[in-house]
Amino acid sequence: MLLAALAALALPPAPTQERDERAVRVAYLYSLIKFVDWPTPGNDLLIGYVGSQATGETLLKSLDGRRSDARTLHVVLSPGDELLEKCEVIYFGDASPEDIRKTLAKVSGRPVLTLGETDSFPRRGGMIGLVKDEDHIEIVVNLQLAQRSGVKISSRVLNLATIVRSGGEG
Amino acid sequence: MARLTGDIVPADIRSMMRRSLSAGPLRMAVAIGLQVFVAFAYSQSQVDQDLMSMNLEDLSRVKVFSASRHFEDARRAPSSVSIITASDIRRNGWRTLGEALSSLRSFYTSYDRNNLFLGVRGFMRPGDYNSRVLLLVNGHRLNDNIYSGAAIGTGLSIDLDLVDHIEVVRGPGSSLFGTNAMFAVINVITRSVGSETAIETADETGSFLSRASRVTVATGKGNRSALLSGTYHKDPGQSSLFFPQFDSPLTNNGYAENMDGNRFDTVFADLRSGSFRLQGAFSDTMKRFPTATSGTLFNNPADWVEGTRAFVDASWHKTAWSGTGIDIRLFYDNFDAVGSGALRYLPMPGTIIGRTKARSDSAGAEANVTHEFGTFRITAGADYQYSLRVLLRNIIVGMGDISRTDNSPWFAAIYGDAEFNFTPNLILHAGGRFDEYSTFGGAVNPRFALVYTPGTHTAVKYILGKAFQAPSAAAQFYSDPINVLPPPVKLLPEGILSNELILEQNLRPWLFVTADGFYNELHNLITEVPAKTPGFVWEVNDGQVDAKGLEFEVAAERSPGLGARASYTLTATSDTGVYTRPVNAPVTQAKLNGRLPLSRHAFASVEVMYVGPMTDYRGTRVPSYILPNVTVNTNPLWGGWVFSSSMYNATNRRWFSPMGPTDPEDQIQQDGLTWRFKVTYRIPVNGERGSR
Repeated sequence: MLLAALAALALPPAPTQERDERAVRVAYLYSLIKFVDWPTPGNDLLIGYVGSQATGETLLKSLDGRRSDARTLHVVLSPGDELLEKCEVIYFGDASPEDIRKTLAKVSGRPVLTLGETDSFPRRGGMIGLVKDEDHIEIVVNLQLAQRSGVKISSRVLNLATIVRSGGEG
Repeated sequence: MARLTGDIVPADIRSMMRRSLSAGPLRMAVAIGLQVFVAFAYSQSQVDQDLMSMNLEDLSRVKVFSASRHFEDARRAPSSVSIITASDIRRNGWRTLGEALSSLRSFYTSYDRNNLFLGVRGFMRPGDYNSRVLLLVNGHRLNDNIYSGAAIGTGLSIDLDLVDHIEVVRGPGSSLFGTNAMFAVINVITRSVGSETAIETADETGSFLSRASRVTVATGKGNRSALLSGTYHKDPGQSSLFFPQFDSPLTNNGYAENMDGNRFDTVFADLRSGSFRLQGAFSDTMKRFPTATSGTLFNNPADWVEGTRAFVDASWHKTAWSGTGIDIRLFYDNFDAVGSGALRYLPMPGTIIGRTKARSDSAGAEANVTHEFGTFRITAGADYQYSLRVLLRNIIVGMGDISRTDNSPWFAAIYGDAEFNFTPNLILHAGGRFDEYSTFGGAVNPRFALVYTPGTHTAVKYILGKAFQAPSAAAQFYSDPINVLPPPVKLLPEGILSNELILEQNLRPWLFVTADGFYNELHNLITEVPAKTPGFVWEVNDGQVDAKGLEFEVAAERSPGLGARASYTLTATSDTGVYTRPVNAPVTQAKLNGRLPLSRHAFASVEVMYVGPMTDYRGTRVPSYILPNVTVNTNPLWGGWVFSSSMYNATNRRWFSPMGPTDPEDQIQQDGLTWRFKVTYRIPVNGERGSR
């Protein structure tokens, strides 16, 4: 009976391939940056990362040194306060609620794009959640918070995203 | 008294390790494992480049998997946790929950051609019903209210195709979950429905002309979704089975003919709207048994068991802005079982049909609150369950009831758990639960866990806890005038004191290593023993078992098509109660699961299980066995067709399972090579995402 399934190998369809959710989120981040405007963009864009090792390594390997439009991306894992002040993007990858709260408090009110991985992230002080919904990653945006901080998110992102408010059901 | 962790690695275990490292199955597992890991080392990851060139719209359509996430979650959990994903189930061709569980380190099963029994960490009591593990589906308790059993074979109310993942949390869990959570809590999580409407069908056929069909309808919009699924399965089983114990012209020369068939039907429904969820299941199973168990006549068509179970569960979950989480659950359960048999020992054997009937209806409520205070997290909750009836009857067909008991036991419980994050690297979990039962009184079960994470890729955990199993309704209330008397004294709960030390290490983002040492002391085990009245038995608390062991596991997950898990377990069990030797306790086990892509559209999974020799309750040696299973799967083809072919026991080895005290056999031979072919087709009705 194994032959029955093996015979299917010769067929030429184009199935949807599953990808590691970590890699998909990193690709999302790379793509999203192109649709975000900061008040005073420089030649470099510093991305801070707070969270578990696995996602951090993927982020570092995939984005550090890469060009995005006219800017060069730099990734800093677990940035200290000094580097945190220079970050224009902070990505929380499976970080503890305590770490998220503390870090968000430090960048509150500044034009820093903050991204997390849970549905609750944009409802609890973050701007964008890259949320796994069944077997896809969806964008959830707290637009009010982004606008208040001075970060402008393109309508191309918003058209794909679910918009929520702080603390609410969305 | 709690044992110190130093006791977990005694000299006899180390000696066993040295002896066993030269064993053939381990060598084979290590060799295959190394090949897979070498394949990882040389595999080139092109996916990132593909993904980086995608635009947002393309990315929103990419299907994802999240094996690495499970590793990260597992590292922080105050237990040793294994996750079995839907992909694992599909790729390995597992047909029952028992097959999926037996792929995990320290889990093994035996089958008496009626029930599938689960052994964990060197403990498998002959003839019990897996009542020392707690089985949940989406948080709803599935252990039945008569035998406390966890159905891990075809009696499971949920089709495995509907499973998103299974969380297996090892160690004592009674401090949160109450009765049955002695060795592990197994939570089956069914899949959620996305924003689409789809119909899915699955059809399979296999050895002995077995067949099964499933239809699932799912629809979702916004935060509302509905899923309805029905499964029909029929398996005629082996047409002829030989039992040497009955090799006599009076008993068909030892051949049981057409006595192995089974059938089951299940329906599962899951409705969600925002924070509210309503789920329900109904299942009906029937199995003939060929073993002449419990004094029944060999090879008689009146020997069968049938059972239905149903539940309805309404739950509500809310996480408030302040970080407070609230869960409330209301439920109703029904369990109805009939065992039939032609009685062997009465005058004119075979002319009298006996039936045991058991029925339970119960309802209950659970509520818990979780709140974070800075770096502390507190959970508090309460459970209540009332049995509207627990009806046990013994009937002689044509004569009516010869025994009947009807009871309405209840229990109530409160519990709490606190998580103290003393430093970012050190977390203490401390919790406990108090249960009050109408039958035997109170039970207190505390649990402590220390989780030390010196870096982002290392976790060291120490767990000390107590857990219990309340005496089952059958053990407490069942009696008959033929051979079972009521317990001579009130039955008390069984208990376990467990020590566990775990080291978990992420060597690479895709490579995860676990070493686990445990020491379990079980006491007050409920056991059937001869009563003072000759010819009768009764249930008493009499039995103590100590089991200590070491587990090693290496797991790697490089991509959906390339992954492997290898484990090795050493266990030393001593039985100081009714049985004078360790019963059904293999010293060594080795497991290997690996999968490799065959092409862009298909992959192969290979599973090899080695379970060492054990001794059954009569002292007979049950030989070791090696079972290789092979499955070839495709990705969705032509937009929705998935094909799967499996061979089980692919080398057609002879292997045996131990039997229990009510069986005339010491051990029985299991199936040789069997196979299954399965086709799944998913039809999106209004979804644009394509097939799963």
